[in-house]
Amino acid sequence: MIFDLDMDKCVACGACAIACMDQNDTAPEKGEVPFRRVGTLEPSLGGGKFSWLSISCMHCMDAPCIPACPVCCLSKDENGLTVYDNTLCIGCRSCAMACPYGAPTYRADGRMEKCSGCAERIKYGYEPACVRVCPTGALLCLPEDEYERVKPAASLRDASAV
Amino acid sequence: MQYRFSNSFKYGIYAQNIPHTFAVNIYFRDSTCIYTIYVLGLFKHTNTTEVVDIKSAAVIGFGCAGFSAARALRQAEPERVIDIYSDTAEAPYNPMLTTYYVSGKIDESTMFPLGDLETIKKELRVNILCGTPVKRLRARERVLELDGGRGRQYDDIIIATGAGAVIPPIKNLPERGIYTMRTASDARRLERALNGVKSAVVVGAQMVGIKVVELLVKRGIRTVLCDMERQMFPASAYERTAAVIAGRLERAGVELRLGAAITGVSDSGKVLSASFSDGSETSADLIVFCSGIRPNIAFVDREEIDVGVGIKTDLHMRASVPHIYAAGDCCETYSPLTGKNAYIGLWANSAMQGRVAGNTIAGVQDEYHGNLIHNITHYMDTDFISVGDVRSEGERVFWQGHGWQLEATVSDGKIAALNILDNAGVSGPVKNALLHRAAHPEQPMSVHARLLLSSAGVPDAIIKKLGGEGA
Amino acid sequence: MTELEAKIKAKIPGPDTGIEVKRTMCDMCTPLCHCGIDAYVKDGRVVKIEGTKGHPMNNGVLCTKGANNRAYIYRSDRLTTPLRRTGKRGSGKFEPIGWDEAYDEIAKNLLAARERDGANSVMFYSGYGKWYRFMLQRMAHEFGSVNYGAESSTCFPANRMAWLTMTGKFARPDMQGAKLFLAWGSATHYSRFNVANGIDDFKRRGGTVILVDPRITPAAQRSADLHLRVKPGTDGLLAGCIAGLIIKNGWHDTEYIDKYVHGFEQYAQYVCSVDLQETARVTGVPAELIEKAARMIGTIKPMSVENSPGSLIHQTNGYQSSRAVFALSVITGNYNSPGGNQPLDFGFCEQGAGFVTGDEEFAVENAPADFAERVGARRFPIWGALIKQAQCCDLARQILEGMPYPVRTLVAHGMNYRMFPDSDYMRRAIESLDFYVDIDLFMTDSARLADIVLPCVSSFEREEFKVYPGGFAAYYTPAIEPVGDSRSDARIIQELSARLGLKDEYLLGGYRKCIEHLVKKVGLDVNEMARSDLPVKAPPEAMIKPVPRGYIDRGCATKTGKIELYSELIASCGDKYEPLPKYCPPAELPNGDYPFTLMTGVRIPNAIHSRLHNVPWARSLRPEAAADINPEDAAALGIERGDDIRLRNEHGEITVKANPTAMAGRGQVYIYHAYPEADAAKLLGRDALDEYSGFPGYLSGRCAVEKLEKGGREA
Repeated sequence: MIFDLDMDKCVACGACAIACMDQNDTAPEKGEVPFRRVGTLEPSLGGGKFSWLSISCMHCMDAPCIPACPVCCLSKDENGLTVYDNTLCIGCRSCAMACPYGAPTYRADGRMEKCSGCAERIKYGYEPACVRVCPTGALLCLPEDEYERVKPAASLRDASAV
Repeated sequence: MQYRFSNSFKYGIYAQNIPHTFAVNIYFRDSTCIYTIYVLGLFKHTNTTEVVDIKSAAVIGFGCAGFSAARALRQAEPERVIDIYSDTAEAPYNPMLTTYYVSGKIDESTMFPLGDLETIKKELRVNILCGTPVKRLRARERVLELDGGRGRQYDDIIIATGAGAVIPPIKNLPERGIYTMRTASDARRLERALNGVKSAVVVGAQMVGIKVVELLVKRGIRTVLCDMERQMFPASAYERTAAVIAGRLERAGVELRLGAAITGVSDSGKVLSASFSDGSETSADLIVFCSGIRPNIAFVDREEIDVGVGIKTDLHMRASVPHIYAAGDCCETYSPLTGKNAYIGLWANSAMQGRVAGNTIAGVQDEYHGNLIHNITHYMDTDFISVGDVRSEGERVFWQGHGWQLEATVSDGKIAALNILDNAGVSGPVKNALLHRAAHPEQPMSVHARLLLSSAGVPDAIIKKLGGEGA
Repeated sequence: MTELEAKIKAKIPGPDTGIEVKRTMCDMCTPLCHCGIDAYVKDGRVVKIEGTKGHPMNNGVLCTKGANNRAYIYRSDRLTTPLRRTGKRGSGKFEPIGWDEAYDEIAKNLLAARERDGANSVMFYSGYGKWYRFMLQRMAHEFGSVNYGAESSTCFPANRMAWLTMTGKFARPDMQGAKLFLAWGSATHYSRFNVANGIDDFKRRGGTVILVDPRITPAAQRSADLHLRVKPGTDGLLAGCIAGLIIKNGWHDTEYIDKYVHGFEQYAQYVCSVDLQETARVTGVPAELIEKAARMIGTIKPMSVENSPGSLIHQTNGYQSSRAVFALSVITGNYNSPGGNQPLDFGFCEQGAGFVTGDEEFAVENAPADFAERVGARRFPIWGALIKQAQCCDLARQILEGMPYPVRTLVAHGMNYRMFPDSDYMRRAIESLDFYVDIDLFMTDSARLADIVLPCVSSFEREEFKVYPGGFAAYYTPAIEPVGDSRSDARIIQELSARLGLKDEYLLGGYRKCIEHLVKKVGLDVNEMARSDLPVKAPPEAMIKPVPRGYIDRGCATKTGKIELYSELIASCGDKYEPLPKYCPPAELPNGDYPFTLMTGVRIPNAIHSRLHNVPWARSLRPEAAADINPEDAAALGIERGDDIRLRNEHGEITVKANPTAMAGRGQVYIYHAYPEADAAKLLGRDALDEYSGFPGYLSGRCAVEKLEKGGREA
């Protein structure tokens, strides 16, 4: 599955972040944060234009976080989503340093958590919470061939490719 | 050249470069070599209808790079004979995890995140020759010399011997109480030694040293941290950032001896006494040397193979001699991002380089994209992040706010290097922004990196300086 | 983790996980939305929600606010039992009581009040919930009181009044057939996403968009072919100037005007006298852009106009400004023409559906003879003539002054005094009441003042009828049991009606009976709707068949039967009021002391009035009350993002965080409302009201901005 954001459609409304918290029972009142972050980039930093973005794990094909983890918590599932088992996580932040999107977050006990792409939901034929909720249709999670057909012109995936 | 005789056995025959001598290796299909017969002068030419070109590869050293190389090669070539030579009987371990093991954060098996040897052997269908150090590499002949002068020739050889801890040349080091922190056995040794220890000296204020300091302090051990350089993290921190770090360590009770090289150690029988270049002395129950690493490449003939700090490779991890490859902490790679050769000992690099080496041997298109020196360390509630060469020339930028700080060197509108304290979340986006900028100098920092920095409180002017002007 | 545990964690529905998906609806924002929700229910609790696929309103998606429903219905301050005040009013001291006891006490007090001060001394009020209002108003009138009022005293009806004044009916934009869309004060990305998506679709079909908005919004950057960044409060002048340019250039539709329009000559004379350069100076819109807009509006046909139910009308000259904007649709011949603006009869609860249930008539068919005496109707006669409710912006005054008659008792569903200008004034008025019942889901600051607090339920816990554009109707049934001992507002109205001894068969019969009565003539069946997974279509024979210009051909519901650019209704209300949509500046203009225009309540994605401020998910997106100001203004004041700033004027002051953003124009300050810690309504004058509609100037205030040092000291 390919995750992407159509930057021409996103308005940084944050519905995705709320849906993420709903799916993952995130409790911001306890200092937890959603796996998706939204924000507005001011024209002063955006070449005279606003950019509205929703940023989370992009489930990179060649995900740099996977080899970065010294205890091999991260892996790809059968749908190509970057999933993890943080039982062994030592909280070393190596994945944070590897990730271009700032996706890994750390719980109070130091263990890493991040967007799993709602991998389990996808397995059972459901959509990721953020993609399902997105009221402007900006967030995409599609099989590769389907993605290629509808690939947005203003793709965050392309814009952030190293 | 190898011949397949049946479905359950593979009979490999290859010349050992001894005139008229051939070796017949009998393998199970899982590549386990059960028997080698040396045959004298029997064949001059082979002539059979059942020729299968089963090639062989040797991997020297079995850490992350060796493992990744073997795995990539196995995935691409199910039939290839892969022999792995290791001077220990350990599964691949992660040197970075040694301090976590000693601190009690992880158990021993977690130091070996890629699995135990038996599992790996089965999964990768490789021969692992434990306790079999390679004494010499005859690179042009593709021959490994083992103990006792035995030689083995392979189609391809991957050097993945990693690096070892260095102890500075100090005369008459005592027999006891001296530790290093690199290998799994180093870790076991220190862990066993810590009971009852009241005081310790850590030599080397770098990434390993700080983790050793952390675990010692956590145990209530009086800890002296010394370094010949005058600051914390001399290779990776700016003076200003280093000063903040040093201040915090001192507040946490760590005794710092910066600008003080250790010059001698004496043993009274009860305690050790370390003397420093500034004339001071301190007593300690033990001393841990964390003063750096050096590639394990003594077996390589520098006349044959180009070596800088490590074995020099191209972006396909090819060494200067055909069919010889190197990956991980024993090699250095040209990085198009910096335009320089760089020796960067990092777990993730090793994984990627190993994979590239394995794929390249198998003819699978793969290329290492180069890298920047970068480090992140999380200790005592501090996140210290360093990217690039902090000694490079340029304008210095400093910003502090929202509970974290950033210091950077900017030249030609590009960040050359930076330090971040206490914001791991932006470290990845910033590091990747640097990589991006290096690969695409004409493009601004990616839009999401600009946003993440801005959201983290960094003022526009600083983001612009870091290359975030926007198109 | 076992496979089943993983499935439960991922909230996969099924018999093995015990998670069932139940259909319900969102009631977070305006009835113009009310999207379908799939509630994932396990062991009687909602564990996750999604938008309903195939639903005519949202087809699977939700907005930021709607996505918060689960956290909203399980807010930690949710009331679970009726409460009786034990301490001093406002002390927050209550004791739990049973429903019977609560009803007894309410009935006793209401009946005594009617006996003592007359039925009109009892005000029945509704906050933002709208679904039960037709019953509440009917109950008020059945009780004998003319006084039913709502938060609608500050939202939407003024917009409706502008259309009613001109054409006798509310009107909606007909974007399907339009070539030009004039979005005036319509920034829908953070309020009504489906309208925003509709604009995107319209653009993809090749439509042209003019956006009039002081801010830069996603729509301004992406959808607008022309963006006029008008200075807040000067819209009426801009619209008048554009009209003048259209007429001077002969782009107006004289044939249409001759046939359908009343008062064109006076109107033309006025708008042609509006000076372009002066308009450019006052509105801040460059003259060439005004001319460009006039040319586009004058020559691209058809054009439909959208004006948000909460933008222009939240300026103290907003009613007249709205009329001025809508007049553009009239002089170009677009009103009631295909692709223009179509007269709209609401289907139910202020939502158009293409059929009519007649809930508004149901609510007032038993209105007392002295209906004209309702609160605010005399002070605001245009309101009184057009809107069949009290104008509650006059409520606090009447409570405190007792003039022209006392109002001493308040039965409120969802009172929030912070929505009224000078919120302390309304709070003091409430504190002075003889008896006050508040019905709410939460222990709000307004509920804290009540004598009796009754706990009501969310949309997930009740039956509710909804209509949707396109002829759709739904009857939602509860997805979960009421939280605690809470009851639906409709049930409370039904039960209270009985306690009050009212005889009305519908009120006593309850909500379902009322709806059955209302939908019968449409040909809808409540049971059938309740069984359906998705909204059903009304029978074709119930659908109103729109005929181009059919309404104006038949004759408008105005005094003259024509579209009145010159309003005979206004002319009949006395010299104080201007029959033409003439521009006059807002009541409070920025000045030397208070140099910034203050706009409170401009939509942010994660809040809807006070509802979500206490929901941690929603709050986390913008944790602190923050004022948007232009970065150059901020720089001039030495203000950086996150600094504490004080907004201050002659009415009050609040301290908020600064959020410099280029979305805000120079000299403008935007602050969302109803934060307990930073109540923006404190900055609004209680008498700075639109004379026509009685609406407060939420978007036409003024203030000074001061940077505070840490700890609140001024820099």
